[in-house]
Amino acid sequence: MAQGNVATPFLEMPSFVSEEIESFAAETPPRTIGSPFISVYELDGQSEYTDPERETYASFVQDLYDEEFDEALYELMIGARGLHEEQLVSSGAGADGERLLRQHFSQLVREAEAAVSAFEREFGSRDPGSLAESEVDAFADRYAPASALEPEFEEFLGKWKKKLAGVVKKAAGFVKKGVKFAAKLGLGPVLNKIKALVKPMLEKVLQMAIGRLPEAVRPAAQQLAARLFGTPAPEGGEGAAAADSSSAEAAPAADAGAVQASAGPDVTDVQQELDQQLANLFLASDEVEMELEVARARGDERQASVPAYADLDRAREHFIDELQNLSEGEDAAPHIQNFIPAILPALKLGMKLIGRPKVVGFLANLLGKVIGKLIGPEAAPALSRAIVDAGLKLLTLEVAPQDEQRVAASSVAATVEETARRISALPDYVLDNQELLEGFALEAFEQAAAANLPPVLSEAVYRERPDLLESRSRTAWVMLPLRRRKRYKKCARTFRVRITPHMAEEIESFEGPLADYLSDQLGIEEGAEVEAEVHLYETLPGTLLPDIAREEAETMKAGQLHPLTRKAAGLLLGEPRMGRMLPELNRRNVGVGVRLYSLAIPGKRILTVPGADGKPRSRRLGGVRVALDATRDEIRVCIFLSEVKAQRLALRLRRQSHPGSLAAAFQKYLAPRLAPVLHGARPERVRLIHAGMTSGAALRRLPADAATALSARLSEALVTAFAEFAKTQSQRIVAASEDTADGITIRFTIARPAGLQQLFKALQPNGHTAGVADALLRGSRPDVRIEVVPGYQSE
Amino acid sequence: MSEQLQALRAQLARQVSHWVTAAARLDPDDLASAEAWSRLERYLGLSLRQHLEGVIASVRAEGDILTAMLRSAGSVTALRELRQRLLTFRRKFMRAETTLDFYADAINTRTSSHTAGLLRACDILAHRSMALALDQLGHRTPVVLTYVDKGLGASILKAGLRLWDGGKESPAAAIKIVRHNLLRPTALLHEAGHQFAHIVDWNRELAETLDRGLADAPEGVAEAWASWASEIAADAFAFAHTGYASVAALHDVLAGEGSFVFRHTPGDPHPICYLRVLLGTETCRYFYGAGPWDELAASWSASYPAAGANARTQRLLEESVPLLPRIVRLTLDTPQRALRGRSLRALVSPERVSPAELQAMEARLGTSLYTSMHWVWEECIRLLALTGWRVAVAPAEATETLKLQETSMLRLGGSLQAA
Repeated sequence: MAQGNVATPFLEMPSFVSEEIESFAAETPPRTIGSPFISVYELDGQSEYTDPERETYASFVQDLYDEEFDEALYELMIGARGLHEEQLVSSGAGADGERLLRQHFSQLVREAEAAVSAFEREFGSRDPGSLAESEVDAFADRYAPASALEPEFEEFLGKWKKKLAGVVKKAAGFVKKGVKFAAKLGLGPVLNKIKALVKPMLEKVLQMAIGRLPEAVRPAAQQLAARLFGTPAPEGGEGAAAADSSSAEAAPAADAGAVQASAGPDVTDVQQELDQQLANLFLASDEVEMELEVARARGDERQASVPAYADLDRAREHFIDELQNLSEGEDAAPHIQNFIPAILPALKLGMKLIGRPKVVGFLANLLGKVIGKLIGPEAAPALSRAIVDAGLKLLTLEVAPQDEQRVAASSVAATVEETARRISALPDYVLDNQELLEGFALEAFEQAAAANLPPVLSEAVYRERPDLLESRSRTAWVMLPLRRRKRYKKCARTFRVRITPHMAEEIESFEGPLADYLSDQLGIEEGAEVEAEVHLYETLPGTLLPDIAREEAETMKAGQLHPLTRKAAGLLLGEPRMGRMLPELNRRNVGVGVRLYSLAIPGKRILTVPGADGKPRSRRLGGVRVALDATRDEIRVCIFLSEVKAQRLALRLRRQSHPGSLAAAFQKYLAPRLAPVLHGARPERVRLIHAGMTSGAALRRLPADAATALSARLSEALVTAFAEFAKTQSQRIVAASEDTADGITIRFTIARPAGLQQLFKALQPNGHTAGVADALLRGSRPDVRIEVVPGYQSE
Repeated sequence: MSEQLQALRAQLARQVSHWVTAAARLDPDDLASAEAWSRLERYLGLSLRQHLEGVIASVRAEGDILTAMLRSAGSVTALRELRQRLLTFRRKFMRAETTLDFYADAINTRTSSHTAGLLRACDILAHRSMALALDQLGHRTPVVLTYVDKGLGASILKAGLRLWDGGKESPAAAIKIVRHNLLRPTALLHEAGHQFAHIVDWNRELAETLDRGLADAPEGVAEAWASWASEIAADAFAFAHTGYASVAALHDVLAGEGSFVFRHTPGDPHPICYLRVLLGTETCRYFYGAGPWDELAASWSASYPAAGANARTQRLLEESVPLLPRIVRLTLDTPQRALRGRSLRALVSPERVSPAELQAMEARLGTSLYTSMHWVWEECIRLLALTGWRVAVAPAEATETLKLQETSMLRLGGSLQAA
């Protein structure tokens, strides 16, 4: 078969594809295991409970979920990660660091178990039917640990008590309703067993903190499926895989693969697993079943976790060494072939290439050739110089001559890594075909090179192929820290920008418009323009936002990082290609290859309020949370107004502003925040409470007209209800705003909204979507109940 | 080696070892407890720590040179040179110690979470008062370290001045606030005014403005007022931010013995207390018209009849009083180069803290003014102006008013947890 030249300026050579095209399809990749935690609620095609016990089980699990518990787990994990990183920096001893961390956690394990014992003593011998919710809450509020806790543990323990109180209240509620199979054995034995769940749960958090992937909870998921539907969960967690691939598809072609989810669970998975375990205990029919649940949890704890990120860190450093030490003309392919398998386990889609050694070998050869012009004793110094010229020394103060030499190899390694990541997202029909794979792989390499390297080709090439540069700024991205395990990439140049209020309104950050961050967290006057210096970052596999903040400056907070979407890059920098399209904006779980930015504004820093532990914490940004609850046939919407917005509203209410203009302002606030939630772009802000699902990402399955109808109908209900409330009960908002808590929450409960049940049917993987929009728009105006509470409430 | 050489070397070796060891023992953590450090706002703590570590590093580096010189000194001349260097080192050590002790004492005044909360609020008040004006002029505002001490009046060690150690410039504006005024800290803003004037280089220009503007006054009057320019500038700054509250608080500090009120020490940058208070009340009148300040001025003049001053001072007082409205205009309402061609009034409007405006703010914001972190942060300076005004006009309610001020300061300083 005749071969044409491969068309990339990095390489002029005949194709790699051999005369005998080898079909890679023969290679059978393992079933995607992706996140070891499957989305246990997304069970394909199964949505109806077949008996009341299953319904009770689902309701138990879903009601126990507490978004604030996720936050507490996340903060705990971040705190532990910081400690571990300190250990690594100071002593470099991984195992010792782990031991010290475990020792540090032991106080929390003890106290969390002690809290369970206290609940057991208080309620264990009581008749659940006689327990009042207020009594349980009062006990939780009253309970204080025996010893003074580390400040970072206090927040968690507070949320743990809330979780325990929730468990007791839920069990009591079932007993009162006459659900005979709940807490059959009484509260005492169940609470006693909960103690055994503490350590495995915290162990998972600890594993995540140190960059390991905790072992799968698949057995628990399978058991859940069996409980709910009498069938095992689909092997391999197809729910998660489906969600992932839909995420990848949602991103435009240019970003497909560049941005993808990191492997491994997030804190929500850990909470969901705990909730299932708690439900299993409460619905256990005898001691043996309870013992089994405990044994399963302990078994998980003992199972070896996969040090995917630590392995990648080590392999990357080793690969950089190897690239740096290549002799002239030496082929890098064998080193690439060793490096790629370390990249893949750290990516959710990486599993597609594991088990395709021929594909990996082919790619290694191809990449070995295309990086040939960039490495080796002759080429590397030129690349280093280009990186230094692109602003390396402005990035960090720690640049020494040996760093300059190493940075070329480091940038080439980053390019190879990103190429592999992009390739891992290619569809099977490309991976299975050598010819296609070659073309797509070179395209992936060119994009990765544009994203990582300074301009290394001639001006003529860039004139002809402008797509080989990401921006006019001709910068480079450098993996940092220079001398330790890499945590993130940083753009070697900064940008001075003037941000107008209109720009800030248009640019989306994690929680909402950038304007909210500027006014509510930095205290910048509404309508003011600000001069800022923009710093750009990119995540590596496993990077969390606090990792970047920790490395960048002692005073930097993760809240200062915002997603550099295409729109943000276009508006802020005039360089849209420097941004990345993100399928969803989730601050706690950003994924790999995500571009971020921070704004340095002279004299401005994040305003704080004292937290529960007395330590200052950032003021909370406003936002909208939605619960679509099929079991209660209602929609609940919590609108949290930041302190700034709450005070502005109270001011208008005190002045007795026109109700119509108040409603218009409310609508203006609501519209840009509600629509992304209902379109599934912020899945962490929506809960679907139904037999078959909870993940808000399922909303992406809705046809556009249905999502729009849902958004329109919900807006109508909220705005009209708010207008009426503001007219008749404005004092309740004013009173809540006068509380010292940070912000206020306005909670709307919409009873029996038209079309909700049809909506859930449509959301099933094979659900019928026809007529949903009509169903949503039909019907009379629903009843809406409004409550206003000081501070933040997620539900 | 001769015996003399050996003896000299031995003596010097012991001293070098002594001082080098002493330098090695200097440690920011020994100066103040970890708790006291943690009670500083993070940015301030880092900035101070960095500075103190720099001071210590510089002393230690000098110590290393001494050690190296001792090791290589092989002649009496070299040892004598070492001795000279040792003497210099001792001076440097002492100066560094003075710097370290100054900051250690300041940090250590944050003895409890309560005091720390109030002092952090003072840091914020002073910083924000400066930032409001400096931002408009394109200057960077320094961080502020407030500490509490005994005494009658506040004082400042300005940021950007070379310290005792002769090394780097002071990293923060260190403002002393006295105990009796902790809840009426308008004096903070007077001190912040000194820092502001220093940064924009206003004092000299204001002196010229006063000198020129009072050129037709009797001999010696313009010179006297020009020599008080730096204090007048600071008073004006405090007034622009807190209005009558600053005048009433200043009055309460200055209302001492007659000899103190009429003291005139040539070269002292402070105006004669008698005139200073009347300048304050005149400023109120200039911006707000008639009000409780008129009564204060009348009472002040009655309590301290000018006849109580010596003849020379009395003449200066009598010649100055009619000029006070003009002095107010020259200070607050005259464009200045240092202020980029604007007047202080245009930068920081005293009208925002007129009694009417303050009362309107309180009516508009209700209880939230004292409970909401947003308003406590946003309006911290006007809140101080409001409570200060209320203490001045309704002394019977002073206890409750000061409680409100204390609560809002603790909230501002992060020592009061949100519900």
